[in-house]
Amino acid sequence: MASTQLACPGDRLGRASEFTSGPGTYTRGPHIFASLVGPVLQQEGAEGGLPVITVRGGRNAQDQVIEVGDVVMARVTRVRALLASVEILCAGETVLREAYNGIIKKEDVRATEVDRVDMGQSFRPGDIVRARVSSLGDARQYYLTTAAPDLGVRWAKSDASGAIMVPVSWQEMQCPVTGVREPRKCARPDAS
Amino acid sequence: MRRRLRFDGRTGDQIRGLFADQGILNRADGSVRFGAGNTSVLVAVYGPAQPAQQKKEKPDRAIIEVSWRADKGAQTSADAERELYVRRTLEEAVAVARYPRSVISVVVQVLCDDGSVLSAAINACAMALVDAGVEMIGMPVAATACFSGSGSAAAAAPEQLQHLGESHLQLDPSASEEATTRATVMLAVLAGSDGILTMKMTGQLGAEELFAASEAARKACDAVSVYLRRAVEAKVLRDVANLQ
Repeated sequence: MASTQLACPGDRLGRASEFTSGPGTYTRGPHIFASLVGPVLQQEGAEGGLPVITVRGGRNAQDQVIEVGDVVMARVTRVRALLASVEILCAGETVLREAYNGIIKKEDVRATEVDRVDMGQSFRPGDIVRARVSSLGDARQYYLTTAAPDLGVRWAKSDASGAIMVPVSWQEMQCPVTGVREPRKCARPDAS
Repeated sequence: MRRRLRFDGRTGDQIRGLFADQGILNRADGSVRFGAGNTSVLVAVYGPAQPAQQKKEKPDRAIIEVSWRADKGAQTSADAERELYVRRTLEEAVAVARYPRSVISVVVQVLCDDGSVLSAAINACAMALVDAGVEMIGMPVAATACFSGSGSAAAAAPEQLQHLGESHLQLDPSASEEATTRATVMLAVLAGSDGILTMKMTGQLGAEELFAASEAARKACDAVSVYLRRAVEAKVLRDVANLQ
């Protein structure tokens, strides 16, 4: 398949028996069609599967959609006894044009001893957390979870000095200016 | 036989010149100012995003909202009807199943209505949706045909209808032609496919005339789709070049 050609929505790209439909394409009957304007790319299929055919649009509105299992960055807006309300700012690598609402329930904060979780010692309003979407939720808020070592508070300001705190363990962050420690459910820092 | 020329020098089977400025609005996700002759519309696309009212949301697909703003005056029932036509057309063209629980908002602002404004709007919507990166099954394209002059529908002889230049069939009518027409047919199709997305008919016409008008409009749609395709591809290539 020539990759210098641009495809428009509705263009037939190949057979569904020879390719897998990737982003920017859809399958109808025995064929795969483009759904975006852009160059047609062919990539290796997963694990000996069929090659994946995709159309790379300059702007793909699909990036703005949140699905179960996505890792998102969210800002904590309210902390209650049983849940914390957040607004979801980024889905994966994409900054969302409009923030979505989400909640992290008490039992989804961490993986162990879920009944002993104190929400006020896990999150504070203004914290930026990394969470995973566990379900599409209800009434327009997504249900998120931070129950994994790489999920949790990534960025928080110190109450004492206003400086950005550094995680010292999965349960505490420390202000670099005053040395005061504050309880949070921290995400493991990325290995760099 | 002499081909009958219209007031602007076109023959019956000619459409007006097209132009498009894509991505002109900063705040909209997709936008285009599109025109055919003197008719021009500005379309902005916002979304997909969360609906303002949760009851509007559908769990398995996006909903498309269309707002039609006329160039002059408050919104009339004719504008509401155009919203319906545009919305129904776009619902078939946009891959709504890709965006569950979302709303895609399309705003059509008529800048100048010199005839065939509904088909111009549908073409503009196609380009604005491409600009917004909304996935579509195909490109919706539309064209309008009308029958000029008076006289009963039955009086049009079938052999007359085959020579578009000599009959009273006119493609892409301007406002003055629409004002004196006895029947108009607007056709919207997915570019390259045989089916019909939308057909809007007004006035009185016989069955043969209807088929002739829709065939003529389909040919016009083919011509428009060539233009749309070139314009969106050129923009993609320009954007890529600008990034490098």
